[in-house]
Amino acid sequence: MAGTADAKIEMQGTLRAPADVMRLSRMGSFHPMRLSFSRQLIRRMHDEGWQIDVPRLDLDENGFGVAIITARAPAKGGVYSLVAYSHDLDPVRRSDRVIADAWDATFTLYDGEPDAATIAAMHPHVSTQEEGRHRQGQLTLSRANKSVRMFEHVVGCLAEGRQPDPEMVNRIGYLMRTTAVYGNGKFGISDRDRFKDRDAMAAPFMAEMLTVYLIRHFSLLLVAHLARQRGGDQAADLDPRLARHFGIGNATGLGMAPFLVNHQALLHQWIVAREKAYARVLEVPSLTEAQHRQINALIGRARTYTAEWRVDDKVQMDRITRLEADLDQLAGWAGDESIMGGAYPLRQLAQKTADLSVEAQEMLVSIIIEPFGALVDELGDEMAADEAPRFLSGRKVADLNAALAAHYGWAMQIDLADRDQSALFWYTSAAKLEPRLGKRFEEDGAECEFPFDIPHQVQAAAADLATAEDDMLIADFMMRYPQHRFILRRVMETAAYPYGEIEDNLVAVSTRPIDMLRCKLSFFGASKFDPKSDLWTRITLYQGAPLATELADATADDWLFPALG
Amino acid sequence: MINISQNEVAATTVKACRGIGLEWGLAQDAGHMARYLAACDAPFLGSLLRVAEMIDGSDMAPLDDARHGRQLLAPFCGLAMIEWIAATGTPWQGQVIAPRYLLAGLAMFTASTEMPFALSGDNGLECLAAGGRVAAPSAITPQIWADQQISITPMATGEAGDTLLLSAPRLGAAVAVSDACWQRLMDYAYRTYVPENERSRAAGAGAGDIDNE
Repeated sequence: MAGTADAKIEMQGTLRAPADVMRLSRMGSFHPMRLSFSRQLIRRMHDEGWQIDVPRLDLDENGFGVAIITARAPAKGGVYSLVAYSHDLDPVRRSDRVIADAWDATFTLYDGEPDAATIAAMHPHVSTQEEGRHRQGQLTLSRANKSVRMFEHVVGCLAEGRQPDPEMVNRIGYLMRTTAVYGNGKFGISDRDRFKDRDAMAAPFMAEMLTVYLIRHFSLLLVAHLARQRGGDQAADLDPRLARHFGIGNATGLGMAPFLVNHQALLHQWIVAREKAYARVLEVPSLTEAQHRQINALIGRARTYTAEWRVDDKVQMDRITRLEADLDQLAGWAGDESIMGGAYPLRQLAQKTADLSVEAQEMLVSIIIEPFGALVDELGDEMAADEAPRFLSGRKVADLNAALAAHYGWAMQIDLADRDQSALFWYTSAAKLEPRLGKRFEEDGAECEFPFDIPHQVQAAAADLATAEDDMLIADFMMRYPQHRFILRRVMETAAYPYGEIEDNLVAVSTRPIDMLRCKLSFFGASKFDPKSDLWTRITLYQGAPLATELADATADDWLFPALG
Repeated sequence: MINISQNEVAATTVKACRGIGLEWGLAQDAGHMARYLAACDAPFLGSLLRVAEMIDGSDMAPLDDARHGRQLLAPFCGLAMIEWIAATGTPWQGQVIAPRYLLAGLAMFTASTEMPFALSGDNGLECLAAGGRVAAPSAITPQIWADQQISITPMATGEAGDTLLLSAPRLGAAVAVSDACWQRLMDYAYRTYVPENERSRAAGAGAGDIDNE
């Protein structure tokens, strides 16, 4: 096979069109990948030689108390401390709902190293989460519950000097499960603007990703502590292979979905980085033997991962079953020298998948960009966005009409006389202050809906635009029709950021919010999507990621599609 | 006093504006301007509440009023008016309520465009906005922040001086506000929340009640 340096080449191919990518059916099939934010963070920690230490572990015989876990970036990269408060929680109060008011553990990521007085002062506030008021030095706020059966099993086994059951470790995959990780100014914590210019925090959600990674470390420290308390000298250390397979669980509901609608430029940056990475590797003219081997190995790992990915949700399980068959086919093609030894082998491979499931097509994206870090990792630097308002002065109605024609044909074609196209509405629950999805024709409250009925607004604006002259200024039009100001700004934003708009009707009866959740979670690097309904999913973060003591290892960045095997 | 984040300022302002019936686009503008003022450590909440009370429950069409030179409720219509003046090149004159928001809008607008603006008010507010800075030609007095008749003129060229009427924004800095005023804003925002009903209680926002794994 002709050798090609794993180096940057000019992108020659075209990106997949927004009309293909920005559909919920495809976004809801995304998998973690090397540009996912948790991957970016671990890579940075590895490359820069971050140190993780535990300056304080004040836990009693039941594991209750305070722990401080500190992540130190070298030079001026910053010091970040996870402050963990471990609580005695009445089991009947252990709830995954975001509206719960007590948890096994509560956390904050502190900017620097808090002194004892600050740790004590934060305690009542962090422990009550949304009810507390928080300080500028806090970058995130989070809480987690133990995965009771898993947690007890691991502590019990280790206390007796045994290792836990690998099958159970694999099936559950975490010791603790977060129910929220708040950032960016929520409840008085620090705005991201305050620290986004630091290299370590420049990519989106870095503070949140670091928080979850350190919570994972805390969960491992906690089981080790309890095993020693219970078993004394006979207690065993957890096998690193099993420890590595423990991530942090998360139960994610509707609260995450509006983010993708409210942050057009940011969503565009995420998607376009992924699409550019995919386009770049499709243009690799030939593979080295090492690259070919790695792709075959990754497909093998993906097959094992998929075989271990078992969920109760019938729709998702059917997709997984199909994915297993598709991966068998993919493995065959990837082993075929006539494909992989020829010119532009990855493009050929991708073309082969046209008839495979969308799950398989998107898994291929994750697989084939993985060996090409030198080619794609720089795209991670482009995934943040300036979200300052942009102005439209000088633009004319003709520009708007052109933008509508170019980017909103999908919205104009929807028959809004069909009640199914207006069946849902998004709102904030007064009781829980959380986003909810209501049924418009069955429930009250639609007058308070979020402006997520994009096709409805587009069609209404288009009707009024039809009465305006092409050379009319948009600013003038918006003065006359203030009710369209929101959607017209959005349309022009889409013209600048075409991957920033989901091209599906979010208030149609057929909408599955779970697809929005999965898209966002895939960018976090979540794996083992386990939908519990159309409204929420369980996932695991950092499963397979290096342990805190392994960040310097050469394999620290090699944890796509983790499997115990 | 209570410390809040700039994100909370923006998000709660948008919701509050929706709570008093403002269109989404104008509510978002208000959120941007309130956040900008908060970042400049300038008062933003009292005047916002005052203007919210003026419009709450009325049948005012604030943008219509502004367009016809009657009255500009700057927290709601400031950005839209600045965009319109810049686009049409037409000077505007009228009564401006809460002019500090107008200056915030000008600072934001001129930070991303090359068009300067001159402002002249009958209560002593004289300034030039350019390059994201809004500055007066000479020393300022507190009464310049009062509601007043103001003329806004787009300029071909111009450079803001050193007597800044708004300090440079400190991105991400916490903001101290009165608990009572913040609660009033939250009360407006609360109007946009939907009470629970039987179905929504059952369906919830997602995750199950009990950890069973």
